[in-house]
Formats: sequence, structure tokens, C-alpha cells
Amino acid sequence: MKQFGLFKFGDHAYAVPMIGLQRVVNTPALYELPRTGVWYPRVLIDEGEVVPLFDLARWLQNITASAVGQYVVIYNSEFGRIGLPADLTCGIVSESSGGVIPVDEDEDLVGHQHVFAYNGDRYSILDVDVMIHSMHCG
Amino acid sequence: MTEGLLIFRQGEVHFSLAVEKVFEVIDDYCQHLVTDEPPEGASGLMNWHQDVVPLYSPQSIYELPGNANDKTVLVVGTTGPVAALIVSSAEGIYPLSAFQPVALSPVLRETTQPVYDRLLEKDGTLYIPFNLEHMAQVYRWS
Repeated sequence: MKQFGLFKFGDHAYAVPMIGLQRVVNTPALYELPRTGVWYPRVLIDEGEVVPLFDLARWLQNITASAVGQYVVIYNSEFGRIGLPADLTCGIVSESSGGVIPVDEDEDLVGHQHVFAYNGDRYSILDVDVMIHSMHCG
Repeated sequence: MTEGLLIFRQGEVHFSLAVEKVFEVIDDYCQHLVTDEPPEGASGLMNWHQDVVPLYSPQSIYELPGNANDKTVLVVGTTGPVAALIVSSAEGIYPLSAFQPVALSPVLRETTQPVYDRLLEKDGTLYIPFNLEHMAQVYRWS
């Protein structure tokens, strides 16, 4: 049974598949390092590893969010672990408790082809692997 | 102290470098400057004892913002010629055992290599092991 972790960040709500979600860290120490690229302006240390915090606000383009949230969602992608910022954690739910529907054309972004409709909210389902691949390929 | 690291700061970024690679720390290099044309990539030349050594800034290799107020230099070398690194400040020498190694997520290594691929942590501060050999290759001073 597929499950999603649900989060809110600025005026945006997003979902990530539970299969890649490792943990959620509350207010971790964040650092800036050189040569990390525009998509990873800050990093955190988690389990002895420096994990980049993805600039989700930049990627979503027009949300009203700061670069970082209160929480960092640690996600294990096929390229390694990254962090996603979140202001609120909204729980873990099974796919069958809501509906997966295609995004409208004007919402279309790389790594975001469907939304998860749940309890009256629309959570963008992030394909983190596709997002990272597109960042690295320019 | 057999194995120690000198830690220094360039802007807001902290670095570490093995003490055996640092011959001297000079607080204000300006009084040692010479006016000859420096080699390509160097910011200038300075007298150091009986030698004239090139001055290099880590800014371009590490993609750091420039700071014209930096006046501290580390006179450094490995097996090749000696050079001087312009830094914001030298902040102390600590035993290697004071640092915890921290790996980098593979996501980051794509952009940080070959300049760095691991970090050290001490008292909540991250230190980049300064890659002197890479810098020497880039500026062809070795």
C-alpha cells in the first residue's frame, strides 16, 4: 500500500512517497558552504553526513515562503540524501485515503505531475529523483 | 602535537590545513609586498625570508566573495615551491582528534569535487579541509 508524507511550506502543500522519507528534523542547525550550487544554499548535518537543503521556494517559483522552514524532511533519493523544507507536518496517509489526480497545465513543473487530494487540500506529489536529475542537468 | 590542523577563515567559510604544510602565519603581508609582475593567477608577490613567493587567494577556486580587507597570509607548501595564501584570519591550531569527520551526501559531491569531498566538524562549526594540492595544480605553482 503506497503512503505519502504530507507537508506544508509557505502557501504550498506537498507530498513525498514514504518509501524515500527517512525522518523529519525539527529546527536543525543550518550551514552555508561554497560550491554547493544554487539549488542547495544551505546544508545540515544528519547522522554524520552533510545533507543539502533543497531550495524548494526557488523551485516552486512563486510561493510565499522563506528559504527554510521549521522542519527539514530528510529524503533518500537515488542520488543521495537531500532535505526538503517544511513549515508544517501534516501526517502520513495511505494513497487510498485521498485521490491522485494529474496537475493542471499551469501548475506543471518538473518532478510534479500529480497532486494528492486529501481532506480538502491539494498536495503536490514531488518526484524527488526527477527534480534532482533536472537540477543537475541544468 | 604530532598531527594538528591549523584552522582559518576566509570570509564566513572555515577551513583546516595540516600544520606541517604551514610554514608561517603573517598578520599583515602588505609590508612584504614587492612590485614585480606576479605569475598568472597570483594576486601579487611578497618577500619571505630570502625568497619571493606568489600570493594566491582561495576565492576563485572556492567560489567565495572577495574581501579587499584580508591581510593575513599563510605561507604554505607541500613538496613543491612555497606560496602564500591570503585569508581573513588564522584562528588556531588543534589536534586532529578534536575534529569529527563528516561525509558529504553524493548529491553535493557533484558540485564540490574535486575541491572538497568531506568536511570536519568541531564545536558546531564545519571546516573544509583546504585542498592545497588542487590549488597548486590550478595555479601551476608546484
